[in-house]
Amino acid sequence: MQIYLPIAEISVPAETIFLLGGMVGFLSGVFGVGGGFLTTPFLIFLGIPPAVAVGTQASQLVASGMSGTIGHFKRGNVDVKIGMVMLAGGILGSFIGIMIFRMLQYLGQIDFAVSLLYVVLLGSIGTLMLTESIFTAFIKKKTVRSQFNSQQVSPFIARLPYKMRFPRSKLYISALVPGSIGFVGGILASILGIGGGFLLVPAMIYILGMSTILAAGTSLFQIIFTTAAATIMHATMNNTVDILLAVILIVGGVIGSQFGIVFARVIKPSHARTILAILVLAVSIRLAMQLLLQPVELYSTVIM
Amino acid sequence: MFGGLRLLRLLLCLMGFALLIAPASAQETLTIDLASNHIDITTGFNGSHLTLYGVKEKAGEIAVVIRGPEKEMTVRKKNRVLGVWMNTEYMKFKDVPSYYDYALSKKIGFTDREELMLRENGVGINTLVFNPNDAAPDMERIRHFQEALVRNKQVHGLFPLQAKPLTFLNDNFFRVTMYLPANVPTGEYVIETLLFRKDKVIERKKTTLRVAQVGLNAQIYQFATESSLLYGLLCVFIAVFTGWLINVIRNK
Repeated sequence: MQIYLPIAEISVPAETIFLLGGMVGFLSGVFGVGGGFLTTPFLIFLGIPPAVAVGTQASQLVASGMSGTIGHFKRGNVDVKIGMVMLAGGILGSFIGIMIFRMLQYLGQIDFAVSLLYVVLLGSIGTLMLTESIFTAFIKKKTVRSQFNSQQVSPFIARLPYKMRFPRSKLYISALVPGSIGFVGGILASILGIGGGFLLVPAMIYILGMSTILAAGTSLFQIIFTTAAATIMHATMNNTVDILLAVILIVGGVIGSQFGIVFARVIKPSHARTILAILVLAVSIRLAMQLLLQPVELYSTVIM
Repeated sequence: MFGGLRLLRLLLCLMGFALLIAPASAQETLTIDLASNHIDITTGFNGSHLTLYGVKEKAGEIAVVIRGPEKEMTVRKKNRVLGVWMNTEYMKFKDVPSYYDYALSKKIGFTDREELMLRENGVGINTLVFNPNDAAPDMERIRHFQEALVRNKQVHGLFPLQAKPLTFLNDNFFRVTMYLPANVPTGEYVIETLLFRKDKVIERKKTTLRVAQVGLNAQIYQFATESSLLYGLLCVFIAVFTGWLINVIRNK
């Protein structure tokens, strides 16, 4: 069934969008990732303008962030105070990200920049995940978790001003550090249409020295606000949020995530991680090919 | 003075009357009408046919040209930079019709003068020549970008590959059907019909077609553009609500 999207102003097969939402929901059910890294490239591949893909994706991230946070909140895995500092940086980052997006679009480099960033980010994360899961399959590492928590804050970070106490995370650290992590997250959300959890969580663990579980919950908590801000900014500044597209994606996601949760109970977590790593790498290779191989049509046109 | 005013009024009345009956009394040689003067883009829109009927009362050939609203287009060209393909060159073209198609009753055997006449009246693929915004002197380069623009439009079904057929139902009564694809640009379209014989245009008729979103789509579009803040907030609200709903379902 073809459906005409009012903002994207193109006709797309509704089943495909629905399935895409379902697949991303399935992934978020199994792995607890937002899945934005899959949605945006696929939407662009379906012919939806990159600006609309990213803008709409931001609203979908609000939904997946929300559903993830509630669970973490109930289990007390959210450090609201550090989250607030992060989202202050995140909202500023979103604003600047949208400015960068507009500039790249004007220069005709948005597709290139989005693809390149995806290749770099997904390629490195995917490789890390894959090597880690291969290693853990052979060698049993017992000390990984304890290493994370005993991580010493680097002297440079310790010297930064505006120190704040974050009792929930047992941290006394400059507010600039979580603020700038949130800032990077905001830029990623508004340029790539991803929550950036895969980047924020490691940063919070290694740079801030938060515990893994608290980092996951807090990052999701601040993603809601950052992506909500990005949605509103995309809607008001660029007019690129397609509500019809968002609803189909979200409904597909709700159904997909249910299957994902069931599947997560069956599959071994280590296997699941390996599959995710391969998937992430596959997407990055696909995008890298697009950059490296000579395109069939060298010319493209846009209405100014 | 009073009488002068009355006389003026009478004169005006007569002039108005003369204007009213003038078209009817003049020799009508070409009459055209669209089956529908608007294309409605609804949620289920997946392209639409457009049918034009016409009657000619003199011998001659017919050409029909349809043009979408004119836009400024940028054509970009990818080049290899450090091993990756990225846009490095561009050229801007002004006044490019966002949609173009044409039909001809006579398909072959044009004389040079006829071809010239058609070209002057904007009939045919080879009339799709646009002026680059920045007048670069390199004609070869302009030609490459120009061809790429036409090719790109053809791929998207917005420019024709060749003339559409024109069906004559009898000697004078004809019909043209054109197809507007699902990605058709919105706006006001102009359809021009020419009646020509040898290399002279005997008569021309213009009509317009409105292509616009209607119903739910139009409302969403209007809401999103006119009260974008509220629209953005609504999108966020829907997302927050659904996120919460997913959680409720999950816990059951």
